Amino acid sequence: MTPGGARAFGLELDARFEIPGVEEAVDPGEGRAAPGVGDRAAANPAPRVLLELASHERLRALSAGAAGERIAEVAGPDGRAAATIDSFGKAGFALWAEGFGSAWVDAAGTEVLCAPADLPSWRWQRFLTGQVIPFVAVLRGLEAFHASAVVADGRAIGIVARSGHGKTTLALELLLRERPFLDDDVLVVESSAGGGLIAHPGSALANVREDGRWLAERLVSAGLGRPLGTADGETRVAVRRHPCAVPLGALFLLDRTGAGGTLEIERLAPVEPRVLLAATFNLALRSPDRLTRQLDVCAQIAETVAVFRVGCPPEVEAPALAGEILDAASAREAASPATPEAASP
Amino acid sequence: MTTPEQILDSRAVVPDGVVYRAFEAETLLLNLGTGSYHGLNPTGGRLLELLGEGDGDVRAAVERLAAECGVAAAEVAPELAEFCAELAERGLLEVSPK
Repeated sequence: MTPGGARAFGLELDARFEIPGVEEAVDPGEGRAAPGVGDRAAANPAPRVLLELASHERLRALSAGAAGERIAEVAGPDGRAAATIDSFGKAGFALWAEGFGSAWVDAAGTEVLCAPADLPSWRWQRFLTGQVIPFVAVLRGLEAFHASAVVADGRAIGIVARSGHGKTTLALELLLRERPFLDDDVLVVESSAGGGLIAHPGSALANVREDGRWLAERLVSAGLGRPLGTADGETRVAVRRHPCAVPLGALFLLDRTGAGGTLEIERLAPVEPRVLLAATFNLALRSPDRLTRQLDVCAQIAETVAVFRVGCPPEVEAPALAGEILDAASAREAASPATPEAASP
Repeated sequence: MTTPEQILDSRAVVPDGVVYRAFEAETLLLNLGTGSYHGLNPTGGRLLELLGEGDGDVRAAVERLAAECGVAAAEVAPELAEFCAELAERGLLEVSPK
């Protein structure tokens, strides 16, 4: 993304600096909802967010004198804080991740100031696209899940799993099977006026682990991806991304434990609401509005989205799992009378 | 101490700051002040809905629920009154005289 407008995570991003890899998501006029989806973007502009670079001193000055409250802290392997979020009330939020830098988000979520570490932009921006912008999306009234997603038959298929359990690998495997990529790691959803949920495209970036380098190579060969760089055992790849929001059709809750077992995909009925709540992104934002929205969205998922539990032993390779997931999603689609258009308002 | 009969003659409403949503197998009550969730079985969830539909009249809601379940109201009223009292103790229901 060159400086200027782009759309990702349901937000209109007005960035004053380059975000490598996001240009694939940009095309002015794209990023709008698919016809008939009822995305408010089709009629109204998405929440606009200004992104600027700033010095560390400027960020410190913004919170100087204000009483901060730590609302989230993630510990690194050594037990020390590796990422934090501090709330400064009506002033805003300070986000920090070790090795990546800091960001300041005003309380309304309209402006983001980034003070990155001295790193190539593709590298520190993993923090920006993976944490800061999704955080802003939640602040601006959208809801987010820890999920990678692709589009199949006009609907989003979300893959929910713990870190390291293969969300990204599976989404990229599905992209290689011509299911357009929607996001990696954070899936932003929004209620549509018709009662369903729509899934917004993310950043068009994926992080491929060292042991999945072959996957990055296949994406490049297929003309679907472009590596931005490799660090810390991961290759950051800009991939071709679906341009617009689509109805959320299915969620697959992937569990890669259970070595020696068999691959099992089971549609959940009823859907356990706590499983959905636990899959939401950023549990630190707990304003009454956010908590209510989080519950609403989970209730809508339970009512309108096919939710599957996938028990998959580690020895089952991603291509085989991708095929099984597509079969399950297709069977669900065939059994459902609703079309994407019918699900829209 | 409030007796079951006193609760049945009361009005019970979900207070501001508490929301609930019905799922297929349970209803989740959420205290927005504490962020804590409380699960109710379908019967408890239905009672909440009936209280909302009936201006909080506990006895009317209990009688409707009993009718829907095909049991005598007198048979289930004490248990449902106790259920309302427990929710009230947790701040999830406001019980007041009619």
